[in-house]
Amino acid sequence: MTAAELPVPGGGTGAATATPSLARRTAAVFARNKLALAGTVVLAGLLALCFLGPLFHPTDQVHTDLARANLAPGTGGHLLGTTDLGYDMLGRLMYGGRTSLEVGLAAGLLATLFGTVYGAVAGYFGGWLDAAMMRITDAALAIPALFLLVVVAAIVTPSKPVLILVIASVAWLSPARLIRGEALALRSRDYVHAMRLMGGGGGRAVFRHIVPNALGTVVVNATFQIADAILYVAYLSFLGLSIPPPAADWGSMLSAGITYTQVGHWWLIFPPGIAIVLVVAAFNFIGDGLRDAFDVRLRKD
Amino acid sequence: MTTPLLSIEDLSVEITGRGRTVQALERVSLDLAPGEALGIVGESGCGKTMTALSVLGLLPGGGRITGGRIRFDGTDLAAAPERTLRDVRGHTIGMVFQDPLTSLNPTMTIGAQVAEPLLLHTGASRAAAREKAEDMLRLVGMPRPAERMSHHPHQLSGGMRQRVAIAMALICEPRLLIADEPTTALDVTTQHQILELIDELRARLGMAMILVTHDLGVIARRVDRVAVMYGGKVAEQAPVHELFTAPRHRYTQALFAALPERAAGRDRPLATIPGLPPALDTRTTGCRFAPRCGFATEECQEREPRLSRSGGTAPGHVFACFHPAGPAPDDDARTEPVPLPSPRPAARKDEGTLLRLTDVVKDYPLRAGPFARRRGSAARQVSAVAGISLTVRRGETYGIVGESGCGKSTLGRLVVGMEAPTSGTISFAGRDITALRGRELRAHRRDIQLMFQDSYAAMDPRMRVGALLREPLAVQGIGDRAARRDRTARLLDDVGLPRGAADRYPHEFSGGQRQRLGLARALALNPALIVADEPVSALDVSVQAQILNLMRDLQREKGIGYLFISHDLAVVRHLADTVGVMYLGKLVETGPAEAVLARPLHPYTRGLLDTVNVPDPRVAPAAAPLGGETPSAAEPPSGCRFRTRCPLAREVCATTEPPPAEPATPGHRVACHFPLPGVASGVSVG
Repeated sequence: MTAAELPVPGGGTGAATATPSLARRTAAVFARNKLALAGTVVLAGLLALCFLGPLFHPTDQVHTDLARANLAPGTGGHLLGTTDLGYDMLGRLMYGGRTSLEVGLAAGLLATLFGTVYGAVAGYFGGWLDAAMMRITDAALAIPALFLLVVVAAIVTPSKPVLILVIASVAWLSPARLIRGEALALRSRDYVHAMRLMGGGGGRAVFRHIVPNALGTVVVNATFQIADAILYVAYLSFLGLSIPPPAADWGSMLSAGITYTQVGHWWLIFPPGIAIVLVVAAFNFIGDGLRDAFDVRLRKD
Repeated sequence: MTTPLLSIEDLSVEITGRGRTVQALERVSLDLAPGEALGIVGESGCGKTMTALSVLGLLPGGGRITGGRIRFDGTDLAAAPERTLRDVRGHTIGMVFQDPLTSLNPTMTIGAQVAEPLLLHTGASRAAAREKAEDMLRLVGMPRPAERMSHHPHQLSGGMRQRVAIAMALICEPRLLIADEPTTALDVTTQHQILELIDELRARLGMAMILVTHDLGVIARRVDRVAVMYGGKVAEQAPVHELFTAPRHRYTQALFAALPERAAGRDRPLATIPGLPPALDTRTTGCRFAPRCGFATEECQEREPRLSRSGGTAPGHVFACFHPAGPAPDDDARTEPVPLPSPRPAARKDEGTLLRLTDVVKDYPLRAGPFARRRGSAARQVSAVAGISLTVRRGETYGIVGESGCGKSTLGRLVVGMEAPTSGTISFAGRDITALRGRELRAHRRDIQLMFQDSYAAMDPRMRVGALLREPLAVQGIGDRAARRDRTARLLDDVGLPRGAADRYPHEFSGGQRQRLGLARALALNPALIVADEPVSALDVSVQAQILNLMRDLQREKGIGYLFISHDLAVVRHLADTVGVMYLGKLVETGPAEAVLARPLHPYTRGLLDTVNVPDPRVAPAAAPLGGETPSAAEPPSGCRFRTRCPLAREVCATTEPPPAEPATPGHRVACHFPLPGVASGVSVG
């Protein structure tokens, strides 16, 4: 007798298609943001340059060749010139970029992952657990990050995994605090209450409801985290506390080139500098675009 | 008719936004004589608020008047520049909105806000304006107005805030008052006081009024004429008595039939209007109500009926319907839309006790900060539930009624185990559930489920309906993937939604459909008891009837018990077998629904019944409606908690708490020193 209300979504025959998933709608909104799209293109270009470039432009980045040192761009087949030790600059940009991107991405993602879970757990369970967990982050935040990084990097010999861990150990604090705030708000939502009344526990609440609903914040924050992590790598190696030579990254390339600015060897400075600016800006634009996309994705269209 | 004060002619309004255009109003015509009161009723989204807003030139962003005139006192407001409109608003046309909290500025004092229109429009001096504001506050029944002048809105109760809003609207002595759902956010007793106040002021100041509301009860005794709107058009317009006794338009008729008060009987389902109001973003030909109308013919689909009179109707009664109901006050409106004889209630298999509450108390400590508890041993606390004992039998509907702040929602939260009682025991099927922990508690959760007031908020917006309905099964580890899918499909069948709904997200559904989903999820674990906290209070009458019928049908089919919490006496009367009336954390009266609501013993129950706005202008106003406001639960009165508002209170009420007794019939308990004789209430709601 209760005739179903007529215009029910999905009320048609089997042919009725399901609503596109949230991920797809988010992507659609993201694609409309020109700046974010440009960021994506730039990032894709840089990744291709660093990881695919050496296939088309193989260079020796291990052995020094002082005979071909300090060549200006365009001379002797070196598109971007050579360094003071005779490495091909374009090849080194690719080679160093790998370190910067790998360490930056890995550290940023690791920090986001750990921080998200940490913050969600603290925020959802609340009480003394939250108080204890948050005092730990407060204490850690009180130490200047760069100072901590310098000290740690000075004690252990840096390698890629060490660098990732060191940077992540500082960077997880901000997502942890951010997601905790989000979790505090989400845990009092009726759908979390509803799940608890079904008999569900904390694990389900955190991983099925809190984290997924905070995903927008998490993803947006992750892009900024990665950008920050890439900058941290640059700081450290600029200070000479990064992976020792002959390995390189954009920060150590800057550091090495800075000596020659007085004599006009601009090609040692600009390529790594511009690369750093581009990648950081790209991640920030992507982050902004994602934030807008997550904002609107739940609206009725 | 004399020259109208306000004359709306063929008003059309369009709202453009998010890439689509909605025809919010189409050729609406209304007249209002000086001093006359016009009610505008209809379901949400039918254009009633839009009509009121266009008179004031306050259309929402993207909205514009595309045609027609609004003549007010010789000026066409539809074409008037913003300057003219500003001069009219709050000066010659006063307005009162639904939410008194958001329509007052939280950073300004009451006095300054009430005086503001006067300063803006009349150039009165500050001192004179303050004096007038104080007079106005006294006029709207604000106690201690001089003191209140320096208070801020948050220091006042909802009812008092609405009084302030009315004082603001009336201070310039407007010729027209527009009240948009002025009492919807308020309790029944406060609602009554505010409506009385508006009536009285209107009579004294000789204002005309437009009262916009979805509540047919509110409109019945407060206006001279009523316009029923549907789909952005006026469907019917008539003098109030005429409309309530002999509605002609099939929509008006269906709307009345869906009221729980008009149900043919407790065992009969409510008449419903199938479907939803039109979305108005596509142009339609024909009558807009035709898709939901049981009398629609091809003519209704093709041609649009015009507002017109017909033989046998009183002057001023117009309607737009090709197949109107008969002109005589007919009773077929009450019975005819009920197509099926309702099944006899299945004999209950087990009359055993399902839920038993014994002296349940819940106090919330009021703390200023983390160290406050240490400072004073006499920590202040809010006594939300104060010693409640009740029993719910298997398959029974136990209705809890009371005003906001009486603790009825807290009681619901205690029963479902969202909160632990401060003292007392709650036992379910013979087991004390307050002592359950871990695995046992988890298993117990299957037996009691909660149906939320706002089902949308209770659904994870990221999950599809299928996943939402499977979640209870997953949490409890019931069945494998295929079995859960199967169960989901059957749950959707049960609540009358198509199976395809499983692939949709909650935001794609309407309010009524979401409430169906909420019910489906509550049913997923086959609970023995569902606690329903105001499940229909946010819904329109026609949809409300659908949900109530569904709840009743499912109860018959599955033998579920309901603890039904509501402020709406008519809804409770329709659904409940047993009723408990709560006041300030106490059950003041319990018993069989017919007994309690027809022959109340407690003065509070009687007061509540007398204050209800009966959707029938023929019913005489009650003699003694409840006055005053509910005291704070942080400082409950000594003895009987109701004594501060009770007309019968004597000294003993302040000193001794009345014990529950059964002075009239067995099973009908009341906690009162001076129970009423138990005669039929002056107002019959059923």
